[in-house]
Amino acid sequence: MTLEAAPRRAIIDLRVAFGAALALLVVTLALVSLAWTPHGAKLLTPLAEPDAAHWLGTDAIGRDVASLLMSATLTTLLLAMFGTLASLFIGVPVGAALAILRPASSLTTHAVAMLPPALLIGMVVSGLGAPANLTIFLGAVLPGMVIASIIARRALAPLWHRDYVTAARLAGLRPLAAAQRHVLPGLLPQLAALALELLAVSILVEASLSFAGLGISPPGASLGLMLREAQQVMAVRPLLVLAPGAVVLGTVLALMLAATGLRGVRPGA
Amino acid sequence: MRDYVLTRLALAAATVLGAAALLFLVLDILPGAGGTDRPAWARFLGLFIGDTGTPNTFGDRLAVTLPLALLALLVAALVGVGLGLAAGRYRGLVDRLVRTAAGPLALVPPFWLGMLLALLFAGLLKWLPAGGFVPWGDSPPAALASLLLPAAALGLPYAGQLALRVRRAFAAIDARELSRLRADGVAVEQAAWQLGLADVLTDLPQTLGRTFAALLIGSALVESVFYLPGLGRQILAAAEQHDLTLLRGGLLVLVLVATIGALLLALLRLLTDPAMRRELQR
Repeated sequence: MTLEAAPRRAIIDLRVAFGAALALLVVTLALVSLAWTPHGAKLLTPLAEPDAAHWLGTDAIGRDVASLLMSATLTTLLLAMFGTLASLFIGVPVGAALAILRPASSLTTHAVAMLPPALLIGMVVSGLGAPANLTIFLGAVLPGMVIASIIARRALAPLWHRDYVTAARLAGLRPLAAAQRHVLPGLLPQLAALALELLAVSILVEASLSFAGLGISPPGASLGLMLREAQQVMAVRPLLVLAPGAVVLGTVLALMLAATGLRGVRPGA
Repeated sequence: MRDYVLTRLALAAATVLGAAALLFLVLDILPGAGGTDRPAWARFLGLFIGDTGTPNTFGDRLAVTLPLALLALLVAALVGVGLGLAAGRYRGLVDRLVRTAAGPLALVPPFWLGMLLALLFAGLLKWLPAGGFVPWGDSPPAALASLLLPAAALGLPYAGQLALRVRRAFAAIDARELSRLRADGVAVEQAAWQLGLADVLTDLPQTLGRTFAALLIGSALVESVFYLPGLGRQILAAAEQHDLTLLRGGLLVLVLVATIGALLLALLRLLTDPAMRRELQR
């Protein structure tokens, strides 16, 4: 029998670098909105065309779209982040316990699968009169933690039952020490990828729920709400639909690209 | 085969009963949810026959939502499975193109895609209506035309997901199975195609079932974009107005139809899975 060697450290993946750079740009712009936006919350001429001072024009009530986009992105990112952290906090320990106790499982899933249940949960929670933040939080967390546990279990099960872990434990290393030394280095990129995927889909959850009228409502600002408000004036100002949607999709794709790179999937597989 | 059918039936029954119990608990029994004057068991049983105590239009609404979801399923299946099979047949350039296109497509929010399609095909080209619905009774072709853009918007992202899933079946072919077929004298490309296709056919019915359920639930957002008088949009309005009777009734109808559709599609495996088909013929 041949023993498998522990994996070598991978070199920096281009997909991770590009995806992370794009996502960081969006996060930075969103954070800057706390201190500065081009035009603040001033009300200008409604539905103005884009010009040199107002890059994306103004919306139906006269807010500068570029400024609004920055603060809306911050709301969306914060909500998605809280949802992701809670999903990981509950899902990963459950997944880890399952991976060690019952390693065999044919259950697979992808983070996108949480969108339909999130919509159903949003309908119920919002119907009960819950505040917008709670609706979006529950919409992201309840399916998110299930997805997180399934993916964490599938990532951990093969790592924990590797030859080099068994060898280390036979050599007398205690389970926790073996986990820290031989499992964690392989698991960390997988968990980071899971976190990025959950964050990406949580952004989609916010956008979908707020667009449906179940989430953030005026006078708040979020990417989903911007799309909802833009729907009325879509025919005259398509940019009001294109810009927030492009931010949503761009951020989601950047996060997913970085996640794919982190999982170490070879470009061909 | 019997195990598969029984498992599917049991899961479907559990889904419907679980959803009904959960909806009843959260939206009726809990304080603040406000039950009506009728006894609790009558309200619970009423959920299953779409009886909300007051007249409702679930039937008319479903006449929009169900065709929309079925059309979207057709789009998702034709485009998604087509692209996936093409990627499996022609590894290399086609495979790479499909992967590059399907990955991002799977993540586009259907409601935003709907807005883009409306801008392009209704606003710019004026080929199809931008919104609204002509009832089936007035003019079936016009009704169908008002569902085309919504169905494309709803179905295309799921086509992306399906394409990725189908091509993954070809990418993950077991090397030992491949060697066995090659030892029997089958050419390598032919062998890979056969093995991948067998995997796809076994897996596809259940995947399509899940896709149908997701499409039916997701139709609410697309109906909002295109101002369609569907069940999903009625549920969204009920949630907004905190009309809990209408909300739980509508949601259960949605879950019921989604589960039955998913079950029927999953049972198609009796026809597509060679092992089950042989058992069926005996």
